[in-house]
Amino acid sequence: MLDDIQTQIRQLLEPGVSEENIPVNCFSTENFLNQPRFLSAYNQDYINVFDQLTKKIEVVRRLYQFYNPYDIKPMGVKYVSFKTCDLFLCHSMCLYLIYTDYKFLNTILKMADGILKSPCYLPTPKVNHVLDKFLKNVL
Amino acid sequence: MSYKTIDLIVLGDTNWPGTSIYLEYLYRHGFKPKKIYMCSFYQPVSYRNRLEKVLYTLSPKLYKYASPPVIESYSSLIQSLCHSFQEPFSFKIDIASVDRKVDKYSNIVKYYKFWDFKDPDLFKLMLQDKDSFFLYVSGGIVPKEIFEAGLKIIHTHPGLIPYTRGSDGFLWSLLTRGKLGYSCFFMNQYIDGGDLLYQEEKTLHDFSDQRYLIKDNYLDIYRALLLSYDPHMRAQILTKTITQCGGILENLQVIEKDKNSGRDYFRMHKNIIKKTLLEYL
Repeated sequence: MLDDIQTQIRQLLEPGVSEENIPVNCFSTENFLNQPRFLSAYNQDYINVFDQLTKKIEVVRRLYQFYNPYDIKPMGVKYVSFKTCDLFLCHSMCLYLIYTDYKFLNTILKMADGILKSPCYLPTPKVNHVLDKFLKNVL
Repeated sequence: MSYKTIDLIVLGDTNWPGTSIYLEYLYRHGFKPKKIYMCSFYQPVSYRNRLEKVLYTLSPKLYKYASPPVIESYSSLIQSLCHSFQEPFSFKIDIASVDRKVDKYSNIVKYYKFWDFKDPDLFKLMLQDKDSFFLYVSGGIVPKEIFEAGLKIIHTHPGLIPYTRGSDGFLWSLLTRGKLGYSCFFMNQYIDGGDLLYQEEKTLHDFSDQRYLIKDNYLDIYRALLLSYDPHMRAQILTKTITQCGGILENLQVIEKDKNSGRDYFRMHKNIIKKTLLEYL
């Protein structure tokens, strides 16, 4: 199951997006989720940041492209793309499978139900297929 | 039995049966709060007919005082579950009863109508007893101004803080720690982030005879647990906290907690509610 999700993440990763492209004094959600090095190991720092994004989804139901790294408040009015939401969902599935952390499963289920208002996101068919298999496995 | 009047003002919620449970526990331990403010909380747009809608549009303030309070109704299944979930305790309350008289629990009982905790009338009322301790029995967000004014508000949370902060603590505690956790603390502007006074982990009583209902009625089971079982547990924690300081709230001792640990949990998805009940009920 984990292999399937990781393959899906590899397909979603945007080539050319790297940490160097992050504007100064700005946290980029898309760059953060596109870092391929996290595929091999999610470290605690990564999980802490991921937790903050989870909070954004659960509380304000919006995921912005840029945040202020100090107070995690949105910078600008641009929302992330559907592809980034797919990536977030796939990373959440990986994190749940590795750590059995129900908090991630909670957000996965809500995203599958369409909790995100902006962008008004539902998983794309490919990701939905992986998600269905994942949910059958874990619930 | 003689009762000790404690420097506590209970901000009760007429619509939440848990208020009576808190007061009954205090009473049985010989404590009477200095005052009880029984509050009918209104949602600003909870009008039930066109007349109320017109009234609200013309004058929200008049609407608040002219409309009768909304009485929550519960299905017969929830009522019967609430009855069963109170079996382990020395008394039961009828959650469907609209007659929640609390006069015996304090020498001063007053009834008010407020929109919610952001209602400035409630803030003004609390400021009149700035030096007293308040007990916040219901859920929801308390505005920052209340804390900035230095008001001391005690609250109980169904989770060990800081480990299980946020919504649905009752179920998150069961799912993540295999036990129920209860904490009594002074509120501050952060969610379940104030100074800790007392906490305890408890095992959920055996309700396996209700398991057959989980498949189709898990949400009713959870609601009933929150309406009946959870308030008893919270009230026990509060009573222990107050008993420890002999009812002199100025002597309440703050417990050091691990400030870097813990997580915020959010409203639990229905599928995980079902999974948790199947595993632990």
